[in-house]
Amino acid sequence: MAGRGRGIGAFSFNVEALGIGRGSMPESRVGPNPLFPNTDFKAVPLKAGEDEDYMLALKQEMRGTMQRLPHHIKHLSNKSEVERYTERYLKQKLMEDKDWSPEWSLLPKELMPQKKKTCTKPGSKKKTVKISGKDAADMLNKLDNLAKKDEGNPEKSDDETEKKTGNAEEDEEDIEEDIEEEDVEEENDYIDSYFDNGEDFAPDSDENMDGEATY
Amino acid sequence: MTAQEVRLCGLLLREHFGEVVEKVGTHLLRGGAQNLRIIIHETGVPLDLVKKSLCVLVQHGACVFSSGRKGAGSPTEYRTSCDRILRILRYPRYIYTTKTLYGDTGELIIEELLQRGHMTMSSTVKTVADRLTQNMEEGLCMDYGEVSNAFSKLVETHFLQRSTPATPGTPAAPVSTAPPSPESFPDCYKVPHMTLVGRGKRQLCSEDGEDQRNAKRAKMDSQAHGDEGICWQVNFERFHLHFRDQAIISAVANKLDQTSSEIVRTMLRMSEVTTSPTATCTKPLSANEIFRSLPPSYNIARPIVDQYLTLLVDDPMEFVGKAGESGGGMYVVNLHRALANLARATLESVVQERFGSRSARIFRLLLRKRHLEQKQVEDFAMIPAKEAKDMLYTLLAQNLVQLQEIPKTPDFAPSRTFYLYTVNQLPTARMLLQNCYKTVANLIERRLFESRENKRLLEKSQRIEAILASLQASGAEPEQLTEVEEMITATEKQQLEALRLHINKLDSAENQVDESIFLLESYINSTASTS
Repeated sequence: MAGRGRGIGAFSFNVEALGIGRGSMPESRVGPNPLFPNTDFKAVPLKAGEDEDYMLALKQEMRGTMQRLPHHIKHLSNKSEVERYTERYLKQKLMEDKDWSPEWSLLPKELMPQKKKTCTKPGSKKKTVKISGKDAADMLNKLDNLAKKDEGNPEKSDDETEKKTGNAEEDEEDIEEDIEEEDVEEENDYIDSYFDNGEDFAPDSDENMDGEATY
Repeated sequence: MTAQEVRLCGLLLREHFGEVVEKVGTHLLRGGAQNLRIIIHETGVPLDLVKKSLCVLVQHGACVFSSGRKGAGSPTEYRTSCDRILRILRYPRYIYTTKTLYGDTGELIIEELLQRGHMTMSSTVKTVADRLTQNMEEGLCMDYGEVSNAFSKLVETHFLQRSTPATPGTPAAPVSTAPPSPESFPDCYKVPHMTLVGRGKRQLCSEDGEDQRNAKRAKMDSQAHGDEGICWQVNFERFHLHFRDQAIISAVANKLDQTSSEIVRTMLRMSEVTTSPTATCTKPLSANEIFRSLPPSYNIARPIVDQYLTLLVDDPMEFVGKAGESGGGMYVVNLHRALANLARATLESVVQERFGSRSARIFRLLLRKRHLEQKQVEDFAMIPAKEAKDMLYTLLAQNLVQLQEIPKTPDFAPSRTFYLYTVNQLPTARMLLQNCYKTVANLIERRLFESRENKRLLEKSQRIEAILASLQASGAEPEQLTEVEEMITATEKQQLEALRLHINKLDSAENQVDESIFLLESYINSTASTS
């Protein structure tokens, strides 16, 4: 800063006060510290005796035992198709997960595994799916009733009773039934809405006859 | 909750409880108190695994739960702290200490309790009796009564304590934020009345069918023994007091001689029950009492005991102090000062081993004289100026020595400011403690790396051992055995030997670094309680 112009080694203050002579500055740095610097002094060797050996054995045993206890929780990873030979020997020593039940008086209630809830959930789901299935069927029925006149109705009511009697326990069957309904409605291969039976044609054609000529 | 502590806790959790618990545990450590939904949301671990991990953590005391901050209706919050998880490093030392004090039975009781976290007395007694019976000769059995006696002795000397039951959110529970410590319950150290009569069962050699039968039998045996719901856990604080006393006694033995260490041991033994864990010094004991309580094998005359006591008081280490003149002189053991001196000795030895004895001389000088200028350091340490400068700057770069500026003028001009070098013991101790944690974490990582590198080799040797064991059990000829043994080539055997040596060294190093950790932690905790 101040001494830059007059010579690089000049300081702006009296260097002697710090106890540093001009010639005894440490070397300037050429980069960051090395990641693994040389150690002039090697580490002291470990204590080796009966006590240390015993504690070493204890430690390794304890690690091994704790890895085999059921509270050593493993990821539910995808097991390979073929069970490797070593795994069979290792598995023998693992304790069953179900054997372990912690002392529930020391734990908060919300940590208990709750089995009942999982049963009722699909039930409520089933109902909603059923209801939505029914709604969809109703909508389809109404649309079909509006589109055609009489043919469809007895068919549709048959389908509804079929569905009510055949109670599906799972969602997939509901979905299948939905799919089935669309197929069951038509007793032939032809889709009614595409078929024009000519009844509508005649009254409409009178209006359009004026402009168009038929060839 | 520093970064090094969290890293070390994560590694310890992974080794002992698996990766899922590690994930949940480190998340709790970093995030403070959280409730169940936040944990699930932020870790991405499925619900049942999170519940299981929390059960495991609470069972082992690593995690505490309390009702939420917003009042009685909010969900329970879980909190983890590093200290309990770091205790896992010290488990071998606890077990070994119990073995020296209470024999094999005590050792196995403590081992079972450490592995399971909490257990009822009856299940502990049964498991330990079975294990002891396994190791005894044919025809002998371990009686449950002996094991119960050992258990009661451990409870009497406070090495075991009852665990606090979870208060089910009643409004009568105290509203304090700190969880109730086990000591606050009056029945903490009371052994329940238990009807447990029987002998240990010897487990037959394990094959699948037998195991299932034994498991069935164990389930049928579980009748109520009158102590359901009363769980016991290991009292770590008591073990720490014991270790601290041992450290003081061995320090006295090293510095002075065996007799003085016996005197200090007697004094500490007499004040075991009367001293609280955070006391600065023991209750004053008169020289008459000490003389009477010395072990009878030491037949020392009374005036010699007095001389030893005077020697101890005059020693600069200040382990023993004089508190009065009545009864032939009242003496106390200065616990906190002893811990501070032991920590100081640790710091000095660290500097000596890393930087050489001359740097250590400078360090000790600065510890004694507090603040010194550059020139004074060179003069007092009797080291040539250039080298002293170099060493001082190295220590400064490593943050073991600090620089204190005292200005003569308010503008801090360098030519008119005093620069003094100083060492602050407490911050330096904290820094070295973090270094210790980092060291242990590095040791564990290196050990895991070594095992991973040689995984194939380890698996092969495990398989061959299993085959050998099954062959020997079914009675095979020696040719078959040698054939199987030859499946491992000579170079592989060498590799395995080297690997085993490395892993043992790394494990042993972890145990020994833990001793320094214990000293530094005790020192820091003692200053925290007094300040």
